[in-house]
Amino acid sequence: MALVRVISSDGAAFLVSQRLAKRSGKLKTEIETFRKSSDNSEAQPEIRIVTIRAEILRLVLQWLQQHQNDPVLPANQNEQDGRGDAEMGQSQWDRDFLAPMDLGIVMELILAANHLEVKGLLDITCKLVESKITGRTVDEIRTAFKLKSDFKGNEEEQTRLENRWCVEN
Amino acid sequence: MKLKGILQNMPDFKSSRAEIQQFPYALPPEVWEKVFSNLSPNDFLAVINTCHEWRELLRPQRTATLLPLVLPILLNTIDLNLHDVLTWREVSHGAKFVVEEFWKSVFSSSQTHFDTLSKQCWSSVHEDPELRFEKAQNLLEKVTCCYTFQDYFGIQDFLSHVNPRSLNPAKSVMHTQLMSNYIGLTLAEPSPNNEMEAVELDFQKQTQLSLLNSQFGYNISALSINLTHYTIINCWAVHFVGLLEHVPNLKILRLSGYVAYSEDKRLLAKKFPKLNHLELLDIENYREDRKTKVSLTRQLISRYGPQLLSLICGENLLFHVDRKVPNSGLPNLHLLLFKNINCGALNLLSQMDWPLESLQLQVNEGEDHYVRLGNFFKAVNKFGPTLNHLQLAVHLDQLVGQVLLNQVNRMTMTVCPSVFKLTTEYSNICTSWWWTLVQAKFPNLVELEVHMDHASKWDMIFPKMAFEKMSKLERIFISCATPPRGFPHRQRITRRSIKQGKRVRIAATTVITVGRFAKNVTGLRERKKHNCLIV
Repeated sequence: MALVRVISSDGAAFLVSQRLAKRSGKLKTEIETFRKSSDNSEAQPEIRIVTIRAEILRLVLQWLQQHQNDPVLPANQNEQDGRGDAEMGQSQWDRDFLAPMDLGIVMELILAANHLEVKGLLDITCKLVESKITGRTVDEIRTAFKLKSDFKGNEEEQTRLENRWCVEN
Repeated sequence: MKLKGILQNMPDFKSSRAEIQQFPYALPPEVWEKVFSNLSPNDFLAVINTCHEWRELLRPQRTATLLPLVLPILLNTIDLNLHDVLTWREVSHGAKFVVEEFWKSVFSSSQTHFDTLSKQCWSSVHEDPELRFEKAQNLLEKVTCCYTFQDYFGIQDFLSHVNPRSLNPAKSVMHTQLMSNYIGLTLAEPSPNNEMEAVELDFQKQTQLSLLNSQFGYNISALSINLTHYTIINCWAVHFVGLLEHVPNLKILRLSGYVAYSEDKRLLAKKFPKLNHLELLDIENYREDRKTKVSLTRQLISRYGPQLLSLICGENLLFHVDRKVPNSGLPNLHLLLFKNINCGALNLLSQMDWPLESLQLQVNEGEDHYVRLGNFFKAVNKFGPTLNHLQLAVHLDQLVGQVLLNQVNRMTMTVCPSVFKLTTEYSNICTSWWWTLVQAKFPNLVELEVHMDHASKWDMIFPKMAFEKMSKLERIFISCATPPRGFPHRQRITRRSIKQGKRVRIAATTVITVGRFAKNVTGLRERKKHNCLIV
């Protein structure tokens, strides 16, 4: 079985099958680039992901492992052939997978799934954050994300006035 | 004192490598917290990815700092609702910036504007939720409405709402970021009944307009001006040029309305402001008296022509372009959408050396018989060397001069080697000469998009023929306005799916098997009756 070494930003190496790695659009491109540039077709590709740390990378690979037999969703949405996300649904495994994570980890996972082009994982993590950010008031969102208002001068007031203009019209 | 402490703790740079590796931990946590307090979200991510200690230290700020990075991904992934997007703007400065960048990418992209308009003409217009800009289309329409002012009182209302102080011209106005980067204005001519009232109103208008523009102008990248009624204001064009001075970052300019004014020599003397970013001009619905020699259209093209990348026009262009100037003063035109094309327009096109990459030609229904097929292809041939995407919103079979197979060769003398995408009506595909023409003319075609209006036309025989005839063709999209029940509006068929005989599940009750191609059409028709297509 052909393998590939995926190295996280903090130096941890993961040895995964190329078949599994290729389910990520980014890793697939990297493996193909490596193949083209390498003379030895047997050589094991090594891919360094500088923006994802080991803990998050492990979660992505774990998710890929679980979903390795799902049909690949095209990353380029224009290419999608009429199959909606709803059809894919969120499995019990996915719910258990996401349940123990805090919001910070989920956000890092979104960034990782987006970077590695793993459409399925991106969809379920975005859905989770969506529930925290849609239909909420400004204060509820600030509490959920531990945010403080950092507006300067009358910017906040101005924004509120303009928003009100859009709602009333 | 604090700084002194930091310096004392700093390692000696001549010390060993091991000591340097210890460096991050040599400072007390509160100092690191201070150091990291102003990191950009990207730098923040790099820092937390670097080492465990820093990650733990910055854990409390993680969600707040990463929000501006996650928000653009969410905006592209989830279904948007205006209320939520507005709420995000109020959350923090970073979130507000992200939302405004998102608007900017939707509102001021000339490509998006071009794509939206070029989609509208097809018989099968439908919303495609998979396309990024269409996901935001609903929002776009709502926000556009909020910033489209029907009259001067609307502007006054807006100004008093967003910034009550700005109504007082004595106060200095500050430049404020507008949420949409777009402003639409509907200007009506003053009532001619009372001259004094009209003059008064005119003064008010100018004040409101200049206030709006001086306050928000820097931020506006798309401006749409609609002139209602039959406008005979002599000074309209001069006023308009004055308006442009306030919007130096304009990218998209759209004009519509009918203007009939006597020749205005003052326009010649008027200095047009520099608009370095202007790249799209939409004058499709702007009509001027064709006898006017100093028309605004002509002046706009002569002033901004060299920088324009996209043009959306109708046959009105013909009366206002200067044919003596090489390429009619539009040497860099890449995207062209020509509506209501006629013989005169086709002749003009066939004389131009525009480096067009995308071209859409549209003939109004019922006017097909005024256009000659020969002229049509003469115009297309002209752009053969650069054209990538050709959209033929024309029923070619209804044009004058129906082609005989032996005439096809003459028409296809010019090959368009770079055309990789072709969009057309289904009726064209059905002509006897279509494939001979396409094979000879567009040998490198990769993508074919076919629009049809009616479900009864839903036959899938042509995809196989297309893949057989066109060796480089990879995918076909079939868009249907009223598809059979359970079918998507847009169906994608690839060469691979045909080869593999892959069963493509479209809806619970309907199965299309692509590949096991209909061996006899009678069988196909029978199966159609049972709401099941085997192709």
